[in-house]
Amino acid sequence: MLELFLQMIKGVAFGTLTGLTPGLHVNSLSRLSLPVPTLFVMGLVHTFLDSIPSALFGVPDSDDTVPSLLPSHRIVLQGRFGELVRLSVTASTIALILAVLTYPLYSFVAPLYKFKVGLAFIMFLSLFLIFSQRNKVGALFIFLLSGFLGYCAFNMPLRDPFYPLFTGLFALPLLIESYLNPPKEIKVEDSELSIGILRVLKFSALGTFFGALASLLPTLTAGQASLLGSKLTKDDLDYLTIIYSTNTAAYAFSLANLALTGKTRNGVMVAIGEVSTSELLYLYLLGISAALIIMAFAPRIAILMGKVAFRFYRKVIMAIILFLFVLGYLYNGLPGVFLMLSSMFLGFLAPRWQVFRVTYMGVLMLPVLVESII
Amino acid sequence: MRSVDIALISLSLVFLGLAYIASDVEPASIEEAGEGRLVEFTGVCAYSSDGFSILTDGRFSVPVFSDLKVGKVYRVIGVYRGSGIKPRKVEDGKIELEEYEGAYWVDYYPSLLTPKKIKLKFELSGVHEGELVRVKGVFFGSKLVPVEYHVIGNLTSPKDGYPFKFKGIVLYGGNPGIIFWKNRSVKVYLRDNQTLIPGRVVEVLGITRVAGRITVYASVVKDVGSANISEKPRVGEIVEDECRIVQKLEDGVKLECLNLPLSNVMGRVGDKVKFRALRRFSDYLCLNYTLFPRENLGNMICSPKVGKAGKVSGVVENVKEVRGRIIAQVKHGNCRILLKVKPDVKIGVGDKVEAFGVFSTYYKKPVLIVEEEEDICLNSSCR
Repeated sequence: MLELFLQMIKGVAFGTLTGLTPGLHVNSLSRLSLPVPTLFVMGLVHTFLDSIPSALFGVPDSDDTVPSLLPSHRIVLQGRFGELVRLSVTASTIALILAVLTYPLYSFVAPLYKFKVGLAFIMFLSLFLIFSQRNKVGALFIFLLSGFLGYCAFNMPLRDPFYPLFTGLFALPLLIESYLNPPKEIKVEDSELSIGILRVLKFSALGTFFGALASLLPTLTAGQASLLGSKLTKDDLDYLTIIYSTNTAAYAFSLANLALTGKTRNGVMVAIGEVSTSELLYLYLLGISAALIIMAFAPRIAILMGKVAFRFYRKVIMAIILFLFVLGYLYNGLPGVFLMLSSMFLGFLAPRWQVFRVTYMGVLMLPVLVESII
Repeated sequence: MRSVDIALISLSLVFLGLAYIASDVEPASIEEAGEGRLVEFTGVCAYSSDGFSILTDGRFSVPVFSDLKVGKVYRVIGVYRGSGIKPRKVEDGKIELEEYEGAYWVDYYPSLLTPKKIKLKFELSGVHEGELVRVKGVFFGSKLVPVEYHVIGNLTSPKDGYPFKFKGIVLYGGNPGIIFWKNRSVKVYLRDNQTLIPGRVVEVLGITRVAGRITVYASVVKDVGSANISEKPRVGEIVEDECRIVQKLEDGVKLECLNLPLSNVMGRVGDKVKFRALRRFSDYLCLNYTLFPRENLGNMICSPKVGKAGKVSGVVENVKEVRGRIIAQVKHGNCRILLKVKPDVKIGVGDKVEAFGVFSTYYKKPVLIVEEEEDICLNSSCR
């Protein structure tokens, strides 16, 4: 019992570290040889908390949080950072529980997945992404440009091409704009949710559905899946509920997918390697246990982090920008840094053309489509 | 700390306890295996290559995605994936093994002859063909996968259906040939393009058939030397000598100095043969020889030696026919001798004669028995 408790605490600690550190992905620590319970809890806690640095600094560490950038910024600027954190952990916890409860249905569907289904879905999503925007020509152009960038990056001898692409396209332009135009005064304090729990439950259920899709379709990420959700709501909190729950549900379902089909859908699952369906129950129970701890402590840590961040906002942003470049250099060397800069300049384009930033997901979608069709 | 936080932490501990209880997952047996389940299997590794092995317990054969050592028993716990096990834990295992005793044999594949042929999955290292071994293992398809084995000895006498290794002297060469082994003759069939050479000592390994006589189907034949040379040879020994031919036979000759015929030699009565011959059961086999023609012999009319080959020359004094044979008296100087020749030899009184044959007695008188027409010349006319 003590061993399992320690494994869980270690997972909570590592997940908190990767979740709250801007730009530090959970995959970086999953390379350590950690036991399966620690790895699973670490990845899970990361999905609970990785929205916090995104909200504070607009720094995503992967594509999963990309669509949330602007709505979460709006809420932080309204002085509702505490509510945002509570929403994140609540939606994530509900998504985890719903994922566990819907496992029997998922276990029936997961083995039926075929690659062609995923390909059709990514085709549909690409068209949806371009034609649902007002500036369709601009969206198409950004989609194609980012796709070309992705194609070049994946053909470069890089250890991790995702890091410079996503950091350059999504994080750096926002950080630089935040540095140039810092918010004047932001209130950072703990607060309760302003929306009812039933509403959170409703949109978490939707997010859980999208998370299930994201865990099944290899070309579909949680970020892309939640993009569909954005069309179903106009309220920022509802939209963010979908984003946060999709992220966690996709992760929770990816463990079930690993056990059912042996397919790995993220870096943590690669590190776990193999898990049996017989062990899912205890891992999920352990995940719920960790989620409850996070629900209790995350708001306090996040508020503290927010207060420090906004007190030294420009210095912190500069430190983060430097940190991201150092990580980029450590991950991929000088080619990685240049790729990051190339992505960054492209990343400035979307807001100027009134195109959603999520259109940059062409960086993944277009190479997959081209490779599969050719 | 708020009461909600305390409730959350308490619930967290409850779920941790539940997780602990649920973490005690017993692996299922292979019969209950399903995709993604934690399973356990103990078996012998029957095949292994590039991260893929097959374990078998004789009833079930299960692929294991790992490099294992063929012929070793493993207990594997892992996730059942795509009809195989992705192992999480691999340790030495124990299973009930089948035991067989027989002679180790390798032709197209290694096998155990009990005498029924049991194919083995791989060759047994340190075991020589023909050795008796006790093998424990399990069957993988039609082949036995050896796990433990040890040599229990060698066959000392040929046994039907078993391999047999023996050393003997080749009495009759060719393929098949006959080898003299422990006062018995063994018929040996060799593989294509192989032959046995008489007089050689050979070591033979092959499968034996015992049905009255011993027959060996040899797979290995090794020449280990020549048969012993002896003055008084026994079967399987070689004699070296020289003496004269006393009788021509269909496929050989009889010599003054051998009690049995010498085969594989051509010559005339009176010719001298220097030979090297192998003693067999009813004859000698000439291995090589030098022939000295009888023409160099001196006239032995005055000094006949009974039983020896010799030459007589002189003039015929009288001729008579006795029981279908011609008896002629020949004189040379003061010496006289009788010649016994075949009736179709036209011999008359006063003929000058030169004859070759073997000395004997006729009513206590010396007689030269001439067998063939070619052995006699009349008035310098020879056939």
